[in-house]
Amino acid sequence: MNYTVNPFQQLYFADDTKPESFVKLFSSKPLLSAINPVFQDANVVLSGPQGCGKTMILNLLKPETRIAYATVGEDFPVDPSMRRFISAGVNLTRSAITEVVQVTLGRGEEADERELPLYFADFFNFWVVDDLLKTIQTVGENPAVFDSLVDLAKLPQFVDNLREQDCWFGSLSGAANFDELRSIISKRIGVYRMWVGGNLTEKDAPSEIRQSKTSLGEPIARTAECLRQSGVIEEGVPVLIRVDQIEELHRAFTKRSRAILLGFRRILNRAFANRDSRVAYRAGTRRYGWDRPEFLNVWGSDARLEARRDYLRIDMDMDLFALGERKNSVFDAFAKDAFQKRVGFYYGKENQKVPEGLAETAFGKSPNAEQRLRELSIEASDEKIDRALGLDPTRDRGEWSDEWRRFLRALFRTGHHGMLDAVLAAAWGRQTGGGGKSRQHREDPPPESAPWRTREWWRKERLDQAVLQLTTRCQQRFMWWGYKDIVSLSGGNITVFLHICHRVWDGFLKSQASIPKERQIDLLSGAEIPYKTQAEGILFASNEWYKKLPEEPSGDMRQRFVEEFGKWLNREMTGDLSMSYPGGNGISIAGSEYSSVDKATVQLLEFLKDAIGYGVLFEFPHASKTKAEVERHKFHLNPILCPRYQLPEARTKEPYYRRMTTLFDLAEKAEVILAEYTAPRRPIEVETDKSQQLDLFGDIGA
Amino acid sequence: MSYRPWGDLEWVLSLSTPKSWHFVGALGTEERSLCARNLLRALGVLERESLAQVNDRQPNKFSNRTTAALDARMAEFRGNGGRPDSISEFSILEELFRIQGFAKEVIAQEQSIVLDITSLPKRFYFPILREFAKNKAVCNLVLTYTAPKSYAADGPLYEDCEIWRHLPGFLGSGADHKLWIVSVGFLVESLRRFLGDNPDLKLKVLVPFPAQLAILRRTWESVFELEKDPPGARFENIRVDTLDMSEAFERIVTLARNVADPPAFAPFGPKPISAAMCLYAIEHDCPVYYPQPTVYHPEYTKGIRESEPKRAVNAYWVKHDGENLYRTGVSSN
Repeated sequence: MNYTVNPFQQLYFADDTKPESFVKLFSSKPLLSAINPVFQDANVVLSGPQGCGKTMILNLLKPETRIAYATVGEDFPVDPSMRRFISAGVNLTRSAITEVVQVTLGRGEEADERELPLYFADFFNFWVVDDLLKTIQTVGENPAVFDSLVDLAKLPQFVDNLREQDCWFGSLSGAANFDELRSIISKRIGVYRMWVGGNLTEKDAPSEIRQSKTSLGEPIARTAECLRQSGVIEEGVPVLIRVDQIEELHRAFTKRSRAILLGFRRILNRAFANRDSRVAYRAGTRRYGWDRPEFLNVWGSDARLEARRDYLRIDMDMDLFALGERKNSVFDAFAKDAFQKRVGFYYGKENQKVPEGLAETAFGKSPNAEQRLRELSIEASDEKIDRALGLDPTRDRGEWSDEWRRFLRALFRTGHHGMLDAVLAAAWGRQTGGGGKSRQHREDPPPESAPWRTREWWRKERLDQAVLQLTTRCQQRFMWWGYKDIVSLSGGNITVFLHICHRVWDGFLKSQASIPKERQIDLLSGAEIPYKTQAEGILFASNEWYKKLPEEPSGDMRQRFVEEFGKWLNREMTGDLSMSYPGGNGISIAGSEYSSVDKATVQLLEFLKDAIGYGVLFEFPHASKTKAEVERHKFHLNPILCPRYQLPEARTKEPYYRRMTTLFDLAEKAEVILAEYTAPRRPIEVETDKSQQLDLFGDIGA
Repeated sequence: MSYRPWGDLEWVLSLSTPKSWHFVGALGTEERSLCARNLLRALGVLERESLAQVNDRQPNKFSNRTTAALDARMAEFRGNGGRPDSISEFSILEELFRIQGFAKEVIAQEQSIVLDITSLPKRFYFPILREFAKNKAVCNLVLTYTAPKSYAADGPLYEDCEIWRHLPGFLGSGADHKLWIVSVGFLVESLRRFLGDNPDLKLKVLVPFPAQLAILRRTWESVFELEKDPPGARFENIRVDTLDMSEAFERIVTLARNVADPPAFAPFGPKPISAAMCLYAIEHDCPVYYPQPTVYHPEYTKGIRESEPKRAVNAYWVKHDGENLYRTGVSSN
């Protein structure tokens, strides 16, 4: 195999990924069964964090992508019954449509707030119609790809029809043919770009657009209607409009900008609220970038957008990838396919056969708890064992009997399985008899029944924490390797998965560079990347992901918060010697606090939701085990950050139950400044209820 | 061929007939932010002044330190004869029309302007420079830039950048751009991300060299960070003197000469090089992309070069007696 190429170099599918590359790299089968609604009528909102695959899916709507499939001789990966559609789109940032906020009408802020959204709407209409006409031309000029989807011979009739539509207020009246129509529209876009670029001297909007502002969505719908009426496209062919970067309408730093951009959003919402049968809209957005209550108001009415009624929401995280839960067949298939395609793309060029199921063979099986301890030596002194089990005087102040100590040391020395038994037995020894009793098990001799071994669930829930505590106290690292670990650390995000693959593959290439050719490992022949190389690559990827956080807007603050949160969780998990909170790799907040109207709390939660939207944190509502509460919300780090902070990534147990004060405290340490929060910090509070913890005492007794 | 003089402020001004100047700059947290203004005043040619106080996103972790530093700078300004009513406050992400309005007010008052870009964010001095360069009412335009002694060592120089987007007013023609010219400075995360999104893009990288010791190591670290992954052929490094705006402009002219569409710029490097990009972009309607930071370290820089204003302040003639010296085809000798 080639030892110089890393097939995972390109992580993101950007808007301008070459269509040919797209064809080779797009994973169709795992995704399309779940996203068929994208190719049908009705409005659809795709939400999910950066890199989850939204752009990839929306790119399928572009005619260039479909042409590329035909060019390379691959079947277009959309069900044949759904291939007859026309699509146009706009990226609100790149098109500069949102730059309308940069100009003024010269009649004060009120006039700007009232009228600039109307210019935004007009600019939007012309941009989308321009792209729609471009698509029509592209599709019509490629009948071999699109069959008879577009009949260019009917264009003159279409132009006559469209020009006469009253929605344009005469602005298209000079268009005698299709080229002139496009030229007029293009000129109008040019005027807008000149204006919002600050190149015009007029104080008001340019005179040529002032009197002919169009209503949002109507010219687009009329264009679709005219295309059908004139026979350019058949009745029943859906016209799908893509809108990208809607969330950028919610980022503003001046009061004026905030008000005007929200106006843009409200007017855009009208297109969704209209539920116009002539066109359907497609939007890609981050989680929380779409449906905060203030974002959903509709221009010119008291109505708010409503999911299901006005649009279908596909949450990529929740609906497809189950937020990276370990058992997730869609993401598993997606990851395997993405891996296979990338390796195939690069090695296929060299006519090297890429065997099926390469991701699983190259990474191999993930370790069990015992195997994760393989770097620890069983031949250790009493002192070292005591330290490993937290029995050293500094931790337990010599409270252990000699009998217990001898027992635990002997257990430790029996091997890696014994190490696990020893640390779990020590945790068991520290636990009280439950029911408010203060007596500890270690006040009696170690029981022969070995409950830390025989109580299957108690043990299973604590294995990761046991490994973490052992490795940490032996100055080693918790290590991850194998296909399942990598998928688990990816948290249901394909970009994270490819990022880990990239760094592991990099490490592998470096490790092979100095080895004689005959001894090099050939992954294409079924060999596996050595576990240490994988573990190092995964740690590198985790640290690098952390370093990349500032690449996103306001990312520095999130990065600082993550650092405090991660370190705090690690301290809690490693310091919890009795393993009372094996699910302590996250934090749970009561629903009453989560929905508080306290201004500071609202601000902090907005910050956290932003972090969730950017995929830095994960959040899940969950049922409380406390009878008085109905619902709680738990927050975890994105699993890719877990190696950096030495935290098990599995979210199998209830996390710490805490109050908002804990989060305020962490935010303050991270220098996340909240305008509304000035109160001095209180000590971190722990809710005392432990009813959610499964322990041994109910059935064994103290 | 035209001569584009630059160098010591007093010497640069002495090349033309004596004039009264309108100073435009920033009241910032850095010591160097008033250096050129004070020097101009000491030379006795400061007629009027308009300063922008550009406020970072609020609140932020530096708010208290920033306020204290601004108070100190204001005291210095007043102590040197400055009037508070010549200062206009702006938000770091202020709308373009307000920034243009600030520039237009200056143009209405004076035909000879010194624009000090030292402490003005790119989001501000790009559109201001465009107004001054394009408006015929401005007959004489000198840019100034004050080199610092050192840069903050206790953390990132700036934080919380906006998304990768064009600077207001620098949208370009909307065409696809085959040629990208970038300059590198201290932090290149956003640029790396952009390159990751666009793996087929090839770039001409203007690397500031020779440069002051204060920036040399960090700049080359940035170059390494930018080019390490993926390495190789997509980058062409071109060394440009940190302070030589004229040379930087010439380099850009040369690089863009054989390309059909105007280049796109990403100015991450020293301000004189960025100003050269700006001047080229103005003439050729090029897009300029920059993810604007929203929080700056209050001690972004410390002191001034060699603690000597005369040596620290560099001045550049841009327009002289109505003639724009930075136009394509007009080069230095």
